[in-house]
Amino acid sequence: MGRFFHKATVAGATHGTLADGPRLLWRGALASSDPDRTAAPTAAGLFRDYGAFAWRVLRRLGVAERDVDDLCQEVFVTVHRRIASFEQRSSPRTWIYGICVRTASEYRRKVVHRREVLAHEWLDAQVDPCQETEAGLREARAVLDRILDCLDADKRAVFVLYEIEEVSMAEVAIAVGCPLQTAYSRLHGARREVEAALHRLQAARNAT
Amino acid sequence: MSDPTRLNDPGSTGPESLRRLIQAGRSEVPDRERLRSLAGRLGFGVGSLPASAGAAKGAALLGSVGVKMGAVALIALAGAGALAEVHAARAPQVVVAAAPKAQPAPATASRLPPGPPIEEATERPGDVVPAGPSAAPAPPVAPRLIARSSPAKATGNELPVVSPTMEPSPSSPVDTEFSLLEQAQRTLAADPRRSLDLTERDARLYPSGALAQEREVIAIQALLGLGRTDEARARAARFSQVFAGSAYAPRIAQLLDSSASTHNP
Repeated sequence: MGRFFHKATVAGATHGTLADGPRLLWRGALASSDPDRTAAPTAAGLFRDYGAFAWRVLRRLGVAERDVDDLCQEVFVTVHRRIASFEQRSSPRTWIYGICVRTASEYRRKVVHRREVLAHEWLDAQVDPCQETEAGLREARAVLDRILDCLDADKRAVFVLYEIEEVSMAEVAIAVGCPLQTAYSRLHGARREVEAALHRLQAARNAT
Repeated sequence: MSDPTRLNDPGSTGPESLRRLIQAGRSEVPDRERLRSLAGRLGFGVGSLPASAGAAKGAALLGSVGVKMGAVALIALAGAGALAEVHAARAPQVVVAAAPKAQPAPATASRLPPGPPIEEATERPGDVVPAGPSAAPAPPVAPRLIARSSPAKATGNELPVVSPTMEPSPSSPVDTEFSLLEQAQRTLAADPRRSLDLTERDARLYPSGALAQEREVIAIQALLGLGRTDEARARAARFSQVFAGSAYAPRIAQLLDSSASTHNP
């Protein structure tokens, strides 16, 4: 699981990077016993409000259908572990998206061999992705995901968050952890590559 | 710098086919059963689900809506044990009770069977919602799914093992690892003796529990609260050996420092 904890502010102290990987930072054990200090968002509340978002963004970030539930669970376990250190400098949604991006990135690294196999399926897309039926929608999503597979993880994350999740660029930059200008650059690069991939796909389909 | 026009925006000059692909991508959200299953796997209660499947979809498409926050219990059961969180807010509580760990784990994969129907009833203060199979001990979960700190090894630095003066009562829904520690945390300020007892009970029931570190932090606080500073320091020393590099180390150091300055102003 992701070794992407950064800093955890606990009872006024700042911890360094956790070298031993994720570790539950339980509010009860970290905070004082003052019940007023427990008024922050809960993991369950964040799941209720953003669980569907997280699930969807994981799918678009390249998590296979068969794995998305596991990854979504992983995201919210991470949310739970890190909620004590969530300082609300960004919106909860942006924060969770950031966790999704890192979780999916790690996942993609692990399944790169499978993605190589999937790449051979590229030319198999025969169904018109513009159909309005449920089957058409599914195929359209499959085509979209194949196109997104052409992007590197950084560009994909920016593209997905901005174009599909409609997050502002400022929040995208926070979620992916890069300067705003870099996020713009990635977006423009991603757009070019996505359009090129779409053209290739359409050309391949027309040629068959 | 203003954000560029999105490809899905009406004024976009991007390919129409791409716009439709993006719309298709936006239209995909998990259905209610899937969310319910996920909530069960995470140990979330009924309050963690949108009011309806439509609400889930709407939330995913349009943004979140403010929903009142009750106190919630989270018990994320993994191979090594349970993660849990209860917000000790004064709002009504719904406690999701984990099934006893002694139950055999299902032989099937990491996807747990859905729990009992989650009624969309109003939650009442103090309700205990049996989590049922969905919160039963997790089957073996791939390490990548929920990474855990390794349990303490038998190196001679083991943390205190408590004699079994109180028999475990796994049938009691409140004796989850989390609930014990949550009680311990709550009683810490007012009754550190009780808090310490609860951590000892937790140590007996869950000697290699997922919340062992949390238990030790609470126990150290309780010992300090009882004025048993030497014991607290000894326990802290064992903690630092067993859980080297723990994120709680600064917190423990702070507690000990505070205690020292209190007693030696």
